[in-house]
Order: sequence, then C-alpha cells, then structure tokens
Amino acid sequence: MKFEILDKELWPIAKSLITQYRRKGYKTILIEKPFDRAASFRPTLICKKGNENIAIEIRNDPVFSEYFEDFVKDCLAERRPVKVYLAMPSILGEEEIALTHSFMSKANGYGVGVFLVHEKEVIEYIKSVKCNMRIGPNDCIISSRGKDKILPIISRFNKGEPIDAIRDITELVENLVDNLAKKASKKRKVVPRIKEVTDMNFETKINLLSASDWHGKHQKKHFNEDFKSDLKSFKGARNLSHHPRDKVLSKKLEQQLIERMLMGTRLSNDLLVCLFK
Amino acid sequence: MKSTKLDNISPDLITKNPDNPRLVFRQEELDTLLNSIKKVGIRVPLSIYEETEKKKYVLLDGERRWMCAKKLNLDKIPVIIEPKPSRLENILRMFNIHNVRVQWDLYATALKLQEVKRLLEKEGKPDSIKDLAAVTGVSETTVKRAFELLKLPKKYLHLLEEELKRPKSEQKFSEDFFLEMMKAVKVIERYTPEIIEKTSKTKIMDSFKDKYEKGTITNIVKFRNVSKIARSENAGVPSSKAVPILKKLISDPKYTIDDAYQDSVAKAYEDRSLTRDIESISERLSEINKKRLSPEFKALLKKMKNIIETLLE
Repeated sequence: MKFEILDKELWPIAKSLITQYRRKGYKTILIEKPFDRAASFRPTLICKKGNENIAIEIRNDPVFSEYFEDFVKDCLAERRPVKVYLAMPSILGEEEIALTHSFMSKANGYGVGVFLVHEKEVIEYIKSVKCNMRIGPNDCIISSRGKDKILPIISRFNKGEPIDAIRDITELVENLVDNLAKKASKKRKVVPRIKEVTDMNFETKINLLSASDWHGKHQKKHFNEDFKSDLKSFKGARNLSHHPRDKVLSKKLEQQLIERMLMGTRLSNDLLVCLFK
Repeated sequence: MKSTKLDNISPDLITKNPDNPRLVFRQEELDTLLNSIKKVGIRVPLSIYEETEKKKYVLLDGERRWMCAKKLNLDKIPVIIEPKPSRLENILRMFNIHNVRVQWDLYATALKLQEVKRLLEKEGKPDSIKDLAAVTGVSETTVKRAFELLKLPKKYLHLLEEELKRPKSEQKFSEDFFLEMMKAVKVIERYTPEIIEKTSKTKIMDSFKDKYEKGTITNIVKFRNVSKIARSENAGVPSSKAVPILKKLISDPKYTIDDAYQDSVAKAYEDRSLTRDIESISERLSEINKKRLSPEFKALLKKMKNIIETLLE
C-alpha cells in the first residue's frame, strides 16, 4: 500500500477504511487512481465489488473544495455507477470535528456520504447515493403545478430509496389518471358515468382517456398514442423491487429504476398539466 | 555541458525526490493550487531528471504541482528534463531552487542542512556554517538558526512537526517561539547556572511553553526580558535578587515575564539607559560653540537646567 499524495498523518484513516472494505468483501482497492480514464479527479481510494463502486476522498477537515465539487458534478453528469464519500478524522487534536450546515447541505445535496474515522472505528455519518441513481435538475422538466407532488418523490429517490420512490411515483401516476378520468366523466367529456369510471382498472382508464369513440359514441380523446403506450409500459414499474445478486442483473435493475423514475416524473407532470387545463 | 530538454509527459512516470526537505504540504495551500490548476492548468514546467535504470523521472522542482496533476488525473504535464545530478548536487540544487522562494519551513531546512553537512564531511569538503551557507545559498544566519533549532529536545521537535502541518494562521508554536525561548534558557544557563542545577533546562522550557499556551506569556519577544533578568549584574542588580525572581517565573504558572521584569531589573535598566543618555548629551553639549547657540536652544537648556536643579535639591 503506497500513498503518493495523501498526507502521512491521514494514512491510519485510509488503512482503517481499507480494512473495513476488505472485510465487506471488496477485493479490488485502488489507491489514488482514477475511476476511469476520463475522470477529472483521483480520489484517495476506490473500492470495488461486483456492481458496487465506492470512491473515498480522505482529508483532514470537513471542506467541500471546488475541485472535489467538480468531480462530484462530473460523476453525476456522466452517471458513473459510484458512491462518493468524504472521509475525515472524527477528532482533530483534542476537539471533535465540527460539520458545518453548509457542508452538510452540500453533502446531502450531491448525495456525497461522509465517513468519520477515529482510530479503527469508521462511522458512516452520512450515507452516499450512487451517482447514476440520482436525478438532477436538468434531467426532467417539472411545471409549477408538479413541484409539490413530484419533487418530494425525486428527493426520496435521490436519498437512496429508489424502490419507495418508484412506488410513490407509480401511485401518483395512477391517482392522476384516476382523477383525470373522473373529472372528464363529470364534465361529460367521456361517455362512461362516474360510477363506471370508479370501477375501471388502471389500464381501462388509460384506454378510456385515449379513445375518441367509446362503444360507438363519440367522446374527447385526452391522450395521444405515444402517451398511451408510455402509460401502459409504465404500469409495471412498481414491480421493480427484487434484489439481484448478479452484477449484470444489478446493473440492469439500476438502469430500469432510473429510467422508470424519469418516465414517472415526465408522465405525472404531463398528467398534472392535463388535469388543470 | 549536459543539455536540458522541454517535454510533456504523464505525471505517472514521475516520482518524488527523496531529498526534498519540505516535509509538510498544508491542505489549504494544496486546495488553492488544485483549484488554480483545474482552472488554468500548469503554466510553469516542472523540473525533473531521468532515472534510466528505473525508467522513471525524479522530481527536482514542482512536487506540489505534480501532486495536483495526479489528483486531477491530468494526461500530460510540461516538464524540463535535466541531467541526473549526484546525491550532493541533488540536495544542493533543491536548496538553490527552493531557497529563492522561501517556501521551506526552517525545521525542514534544518534537517536537510544536517544531511548536506554529513555529505560534505564524507567527501572531505569544508562544512562550517559559512561553507554550508555558500553551497546551499541559504544565509549564514538561517544556517545558524536551523542548527540551533535541531538542539531542541525531541518532544519539542515532534511538537513543531505537528504544528507545521497546520495552516500558518492556526499555528500556536512557531520555530521563532522555540528559538526565542531557547535563547532565554541559554542565557539563564550562562548567567544563573544555579537555576539549571536545581531545575533542568527541559523543565524551564516546559514551564515557558505552558505559559505561552495559556496566554501568560503573550508574545515571544518577551523572552528577551527573561535574558535581561538573567543578566541582571550587567545593569548593576546583584544576581541574588534576580535568581529568586527567575525561580518564581519558572514555578508560578501565573507569574508573567512583565511582572518578573518589573520586580527585578526594570528600574536598573531604565536608570542605565538614562545614564547613557545623560553622558551622551553632556559630551555633545561640551563640544558646542557658545556663540552659535540660538535663543530657542538657550531656552531649552534653561528649562533643562531648572529640572536638574529641582532634582538635585
């Protein structure tokens, strides 16, 4: 184990982290190496196990420096499958390290985890979220109507609770389709009466709102064909909750989760616009 | 003459120079450099030499820039490849490169000066302070101060090492603190050896260090007054008066250097200073031509005469 950049004083912290990750089964541990050739930064440690990649930058103070922030932004933009952590000693001299509000909000905002290390004890003070499993402000457009309903779900997803977030967004999409169908029925824009609409399942409601003709009677068509097929393909999203052990399946699941989440936000946003038109 | 060449190479092909005496790179300073290199890149080429056997390059100048380049995963960096120097040439070249920039801490410089001295001695070359200053380009005063610093007890050298890792603004104990304190202890040892006989030098240093840490000693320059107390006989105060005060200064954690100075030699030094002034004025007045005195000057003399007469009554 050879550190060329890390301050000698921080070597014990690096060693504690390496021991901890080796114990967890991370066989590949890279020291001061880039995550990939295009990476703009070399974190102190990169620990790898299957589809799990952990990048840890060790420093002696809780500071979110500009170049580190750029690295995190880079990982998010490139959707790198890596969890980024900052590790630091929990005690500086005789004083306990103080994490400032701005530091904490930056760490939470970017999904960067924090390790506090004292002698051989490693505390995961803030959990990290994989960079490819976060939705950034540029990833989706949310109208003012959607902010209250969609943003809390995105934030849940970004906090590392993708399965719960997918469940929430699926429920939101289902409720919005239901609301829209009932509203259309009340306003006589569709043929079936409200009781009939209430008894319909999700797929029938989609069919109803996508049809310009219902059992031979003319009605208003709310959804075009693309939107209809998107809604139908989305309805299975809540089933994405198994835990694959295989690296390939795990990667596939991550890809599906982020795609479904992005689809869910887009659909619910469009449904909200449609509902309040 | 061997030639140098300019090139762009991967930072991964370069290794640290084991003879770079700078021991500590402060995190804040590195952060600033990292941010700057991230924005504008490396503008000044690094100096390296080729270690042919190992197929590597060794740094002569630019360790911090090299670390930043690695951290930022830069593909290539500008370098000047110089001919491989001998060990002594290597250390001396680094002294010459870095000395101009005043970047090395005195402690780091001291450690390397010690190494240079050993190598000079091995090669049978002169190794006096003057010679060391000449070959390294470091001033004689700095060489002296550096060697003086190495005389500190090990625990203080360790403390200093730890302090130097902090940003300058957060350092409590500087190299100057230890040098000033050591000077004072040296004077105590020379002029009032009875104190050292009863208390060890390290104990005196411990006491001064604690007082400085707790704020009882507010400024490192105050140690100069400790020296004045120890040299009390120079000001006409018997050593028998200064010794108990010095002992109290060492043993009483709340007793300040200012108090000790006032209680012992302050008046004597003031008197001595005034006596010198009076002697100097008297000598100069006696040389003045009476006819050339202006009315204003005469008035001043009269005023002074009145004061003196009042004092003598």
